[in-house]
Amino acid sequence: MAYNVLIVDDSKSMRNVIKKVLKISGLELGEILEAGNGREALERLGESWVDLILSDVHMPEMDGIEFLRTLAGHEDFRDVPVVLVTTESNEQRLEEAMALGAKGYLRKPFQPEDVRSLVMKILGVEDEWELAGSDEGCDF
Amino acid sequence: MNGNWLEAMKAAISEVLETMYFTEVSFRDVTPGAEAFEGWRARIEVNRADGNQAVTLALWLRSGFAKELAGNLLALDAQEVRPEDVKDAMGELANMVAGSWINQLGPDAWRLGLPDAGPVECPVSGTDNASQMFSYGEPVGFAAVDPTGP
Repeated sequence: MAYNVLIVDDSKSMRNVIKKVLKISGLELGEILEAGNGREALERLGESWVDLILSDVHMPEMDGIEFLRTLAGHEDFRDVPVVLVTTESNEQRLEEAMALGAKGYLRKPFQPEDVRSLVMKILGVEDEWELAGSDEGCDF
Repeated sequence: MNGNWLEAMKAAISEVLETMYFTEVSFRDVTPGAEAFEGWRARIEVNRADGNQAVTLALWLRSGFAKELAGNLLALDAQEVRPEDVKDAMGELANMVAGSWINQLGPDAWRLGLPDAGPVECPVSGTDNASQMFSYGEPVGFAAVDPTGP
């Protein structure tokens, strides 16, 4: 199964970084969609089916928390899993995000491995890298 | 002015540059001169949650170094990096540095603003709380913590 992913971040550089991380993750990818804030993300969701959303929190126009709140009230999109990729470290804000339906969060700066393992876990995809790493006596 | 602020900013810069921009820098605390700095500046305001204090974190980077960082972040060769790439990469750098800075000083005590970045030709501000950055021994810019009010 190929997964369509929506990346929401006001930084084009960060969207590109996340896109590259996904491409090397081993996850079978379909379409990768991009949006610069929550409002644009809602437009993208209306255009294509999305299996996973990776969203920043601090964004102009509609931030990640407001985006989650809108998604939660939307019949068609409320079940799309959302992972926050953010500089936000305020516990209260993160708890609010989780209460609104976020499936997890990653703090920037991140290691590519952190993105890959969380995405695989949330999508329920068997992680071949992890399986390979679990072999005992693996010599290089 | 909290003496830990600049130390926390240096630690935040190192963490972000090493993780996302594949670069290391060293620091030397200095008082920058009054002469104009030519390069890129990225700033972000952080505010105390209780509204009692605002601080601006600023990064001043030489053009060549800013371009190199943008290239590293985007996995582009230097000649492929456009000014809009540098602007975006600098803004994201400030955003991540500020996030890491807040995380060290107390995630619940501070709120992050939105970054801005652009080319500048003016003296480095926040001069009492600045540190010069070096990459491979070459000066590449300044980091400054500037209490802005109230």
